[in-house]
Amino acid sequence: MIEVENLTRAFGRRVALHGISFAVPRGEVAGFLGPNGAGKSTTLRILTTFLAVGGGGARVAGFDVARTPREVCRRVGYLPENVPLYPEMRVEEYLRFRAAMKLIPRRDVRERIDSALAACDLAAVRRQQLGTLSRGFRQRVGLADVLMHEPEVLILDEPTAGLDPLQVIEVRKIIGSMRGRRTVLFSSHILGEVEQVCDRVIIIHQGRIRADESRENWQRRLAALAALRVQFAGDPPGAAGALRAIPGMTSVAREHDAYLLRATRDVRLDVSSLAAKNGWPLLELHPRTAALEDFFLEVTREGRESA
Amino acid sequence: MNGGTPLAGGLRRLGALYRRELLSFFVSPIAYIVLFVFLLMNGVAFYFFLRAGRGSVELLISWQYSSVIFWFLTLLVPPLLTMRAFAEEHRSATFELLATTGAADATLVAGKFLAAWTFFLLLWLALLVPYAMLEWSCDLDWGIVLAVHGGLALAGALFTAIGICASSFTRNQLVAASTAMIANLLIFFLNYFRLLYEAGDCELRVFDYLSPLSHFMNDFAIGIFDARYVVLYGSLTCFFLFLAAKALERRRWW
Repeated sequence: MIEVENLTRAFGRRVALHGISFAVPRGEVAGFLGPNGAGKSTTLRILTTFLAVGGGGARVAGFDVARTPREVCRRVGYLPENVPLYPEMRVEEYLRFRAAMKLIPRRDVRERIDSALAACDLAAVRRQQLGTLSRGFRQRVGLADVLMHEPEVLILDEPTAGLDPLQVIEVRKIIGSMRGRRTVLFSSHILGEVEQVCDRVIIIHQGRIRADESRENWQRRLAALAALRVQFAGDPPGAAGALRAIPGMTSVAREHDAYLLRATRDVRLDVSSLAAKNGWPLLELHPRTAALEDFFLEVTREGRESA
Repeated sequence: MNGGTPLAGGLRRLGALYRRELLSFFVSPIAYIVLFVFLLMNGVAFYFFLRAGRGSVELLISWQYSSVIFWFLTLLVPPLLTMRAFAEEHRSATFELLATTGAADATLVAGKFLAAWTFFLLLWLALLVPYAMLEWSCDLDWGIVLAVHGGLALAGALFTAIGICASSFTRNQLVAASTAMIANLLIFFLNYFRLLYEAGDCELRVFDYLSPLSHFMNDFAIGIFDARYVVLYGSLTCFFLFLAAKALERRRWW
């Protein structure tokens, strides 16, 4: 549904995208992650035809964004960062204007607006001015606008930024409900929400794709990052060496008074028998699963070190 | 999803945009300030010119449509009406939403231009009300009044197009307004180049042909409405609107 091949883009001398490639299959929800300034918005703006392609190519819903931008626009629903709206217009009036701009057939307009208002729970504010709406309502108006022309592909730039936790859950629910029916690509820097909603994670850093993994893959990579936290009473001096000697141990790191162990197999039994053998009272033996955050840190480490 | 032929789709978008823009004038304070200043200045001018000319309608008309007030309103009001057009869309990023509906840049430019031009024409139409009242008391040559208003429509189109063009280049309304005002004044001052030449020089005819001031003084004000003015102002208007559309497209290449 979304195919990006070796896409480059520069703004003057500053190169924003160094030939990125990724693909999002039909019906998947993909999270687009990266620190600020990584090239997320640039990529999304190119995919929605707002910015011109620098080099390489991109296809959305089967249409080339450079050669057939109109066809792409017709099939994409785009919600820019911060949801720009005309403050003087009223909710319903705005949606009617957008419906005309998107050439939704006249006979369908009323029905589409009503169903969009219902889907985004906006019926109560339909006569209110956009400028007077709270952040959460603005976001929902943006989503209603995006859904109104029933696009095959949704491209959302930080749809949950600036919302309170309840609103985040709602927006996430709306995004999650698209799974299977529409292809969604949304950018975020809240890793937890990506973890919950997405079938695929694409991580971009300094204009390069650092990871493009399906859910199973990234969970497997996360499992490899899982660690075991161990603490002995009195912090015995020989402990570090003894832990390192356990077969299969890949790393032993110090974390305050405790140790953080990474191994290729389950070493809990070895650690507890080690403690019993040496008479070191075991205070803590706590398996710690890695979060997307660790994965993110790992794949972007290279760039941070070279920077 | 498809709204019929491309032309029908373009016209529908144009209509929606035109309606939105025109309505947005009436909810913004600037339009009411312009409206107030406009009616006040024209009304005061009408009253004093009628008094000063001792009721002569000919003098009234020739003064009303050539005074400093007239040129002040013609040259400086369009930039105030157009400064928001694209500058505000760029600033608030609503332009991103507008541009990704698939509407052509030309449609966006045309919609904004037509709305601002309509508002400008409405302002001048208001001046016809006191003239209509003169009809009761004396003989009014409507030909002259209509020719002048026709000229205003043409010159207004050009000055509005310049304003739209300036607005499409920047995200700052103040920059848009002042650039357009300077451009309008430069066009107006073309007339003063004629002072450099003597009667009969061919350069003189060039400046006469180009200068709005001489169009109004020599032709519109005596009731002449010439087709070549339609061509001149029409083509210049199209040129600046074309430039505006290109400025919008340029943003994609940044």
